[in-house]
Amino acid sequence: MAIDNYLPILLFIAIATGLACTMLAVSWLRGKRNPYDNKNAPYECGFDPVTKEPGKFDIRFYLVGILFVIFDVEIAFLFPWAVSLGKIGAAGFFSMVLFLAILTFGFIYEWMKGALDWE
Amino acid sequence: MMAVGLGHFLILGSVLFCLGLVGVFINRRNVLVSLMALEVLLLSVSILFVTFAKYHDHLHGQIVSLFIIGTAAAEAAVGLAILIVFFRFKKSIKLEDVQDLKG
Amino acid sequence: MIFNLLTILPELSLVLASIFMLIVGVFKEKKQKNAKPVSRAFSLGIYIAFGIFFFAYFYEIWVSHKFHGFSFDGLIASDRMTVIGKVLVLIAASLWIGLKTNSTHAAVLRAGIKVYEYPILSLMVLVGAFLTIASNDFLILFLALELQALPLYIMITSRHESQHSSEAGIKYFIFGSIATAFVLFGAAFLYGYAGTTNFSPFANLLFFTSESVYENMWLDIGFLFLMMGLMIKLAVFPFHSWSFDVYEGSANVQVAFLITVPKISIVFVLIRLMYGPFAQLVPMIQPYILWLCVASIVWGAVGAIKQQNIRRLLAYASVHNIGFILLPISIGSFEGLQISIEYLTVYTLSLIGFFIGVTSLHKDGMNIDKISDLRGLWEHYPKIAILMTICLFSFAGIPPLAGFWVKLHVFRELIKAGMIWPTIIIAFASIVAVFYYLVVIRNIFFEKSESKLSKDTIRFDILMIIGSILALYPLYQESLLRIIEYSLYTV
Repeated sequence: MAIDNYLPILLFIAIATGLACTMLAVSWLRGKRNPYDNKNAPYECGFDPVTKEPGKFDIRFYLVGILFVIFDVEIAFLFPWAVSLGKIGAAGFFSMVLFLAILTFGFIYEWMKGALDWE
Repeated sequence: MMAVGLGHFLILGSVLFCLGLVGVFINRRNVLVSLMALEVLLLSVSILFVTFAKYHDHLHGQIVSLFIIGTAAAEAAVGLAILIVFFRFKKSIKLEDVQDLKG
Repeated sequence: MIFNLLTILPELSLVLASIFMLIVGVFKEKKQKNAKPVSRAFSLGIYIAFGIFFFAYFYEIWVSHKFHGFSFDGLIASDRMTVIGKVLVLIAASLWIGLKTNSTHAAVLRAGIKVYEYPILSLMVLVGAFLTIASNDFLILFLALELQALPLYIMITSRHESQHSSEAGIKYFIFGSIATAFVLFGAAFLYGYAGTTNFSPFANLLFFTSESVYENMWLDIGFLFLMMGLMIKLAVFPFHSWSFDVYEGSANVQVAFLITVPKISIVFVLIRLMYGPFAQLVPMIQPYILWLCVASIVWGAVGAIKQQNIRRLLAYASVHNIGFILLPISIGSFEGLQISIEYLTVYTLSLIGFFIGVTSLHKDGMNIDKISDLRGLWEHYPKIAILMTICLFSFAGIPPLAGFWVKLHVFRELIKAGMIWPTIIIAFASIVAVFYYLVVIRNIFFEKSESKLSKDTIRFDILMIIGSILALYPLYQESLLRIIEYSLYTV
């Protein structure tokens, strides 16, 4: 295997780096700057930027994250199913319907349990 | 220039697996780190399966690796949930607090 | 037929039942805030539905042979061994979820489990255990192991008042996940060797291979890690350390479930692996498994002596007994397999009998925790005391009881295979083990207690049946062995 197999990757890296640098440079050169205290403060979603004890994390984020991870990753099963749908016939189709039905029951349970309510 | 072949991927998977094991056992700080190491364990096996699937030139191993990813997510969710319960009692997730039961 | 639903009828009915219960339960909980936490009506309904399905299935596979073999493209095995395994798991589990024992219900409540999901989780563990027994493919094995492990993690953590519960949950989670990862790692290399994750092709592949099977690195690594993973789950000697803490941090009702259901299913998987696909490799690892078993028998006997906590004691006893269960498998003969399943059956029955007794008792509104909590049992409840003693004597292997005969069979099999030293060592270890069972019995009979022991209503009929099964073992020993032998011919 020769090194020129990796040429596309090198090109990709070069273009990506170049594009990022160009965008940063243009916004730095052309942008208007109007700094004040609140704008300079570090921002992270869901946090009060100024707290006495840093590192406390709201447990509700964990909960939403946990629920999201499960429903997000199960989607991965849908892709191979969708690609091969023509070949696997009715049995394959209804297997996935069953799977999604079980997932829906899980969702109903989670909803009724109040896991999706923020307060 | 050496070509990247089957052996390299196997070594990658095995090294990641060993790193995961080391991460679980040597880690003295944090339970969360253990959970991450467990995730590394499962995903390294996933790499191995994909490698072998390529080697045998059929899809079975890739399907297995998809299932591994799905199950790893469920496992991570359960692990985090257990960790939250633990945190409510102890107000900490340090590993030295997981030592009450000794006999 | 590839798509044969009848071969997974028990699993299917359990899955449908658990989903139904989950949804009904959550709506019911929404309507009335203080709904009954563990609804017994649910579990009874499930038990009936499940029984009907199970007998249909049992008949089809055992008697009429209509669905004998493999289904779902070879993913699921449905032979007589799966039936025997599932019946054993069901016996172990049904006493805790199905039978309408008030004592189980009260013990669950006393342990601080106040969620209605608890019996549903145990149903899911059952599905996982069933699929583990029936699995004929590494993918199904992995999914089934996860399916029985994940609900168990949640079950152990679900005691709201106890911080030990969450600690036990974390430990069980970490070690359980490592075990699953080991199984998977092994499966990956075996897949690399054979190009398939199905168990069935391995036997032919290993039998007809031109190169020596001992020298293929992928095969060796794969098989080694697979065995290690399953042994972590079983808590065999060098991998046993998690079980003590986990059992101590759980409630008695949970330990009764935890100590039987997953272990039975994994023993059956081991049997399927070692006698179906990997029979050629068994001579290679046989000496290692033999000495690991001897070590866990010795360790389980010696370590238990100074234990005060009853669940910790049972964890050591479980390490001890798992050694006895795996020893005959490691001999590598067909009789060894039979004796292993026979031992497993008797061990399960003794455990269930003991736990029915223990969970029905409580002291000052607390579950039995220390061995000394059993003091005064003979004074107050002589019937329970006698039946629990029968179970304990059966554990210890005191002559007229079942435990004695199965231990005798293990010894006989070992001597027949010419392994004199292991036999001598484990004979001494079981004498040591008798000692700590006697400590429990001394507490039951001869010690006076300061505070009064109380008990819930208890199903004496079940306890009596178990007691008489253990006591009258020689009467039906032959027929039990014949059933097991008949069931194993298909592996």
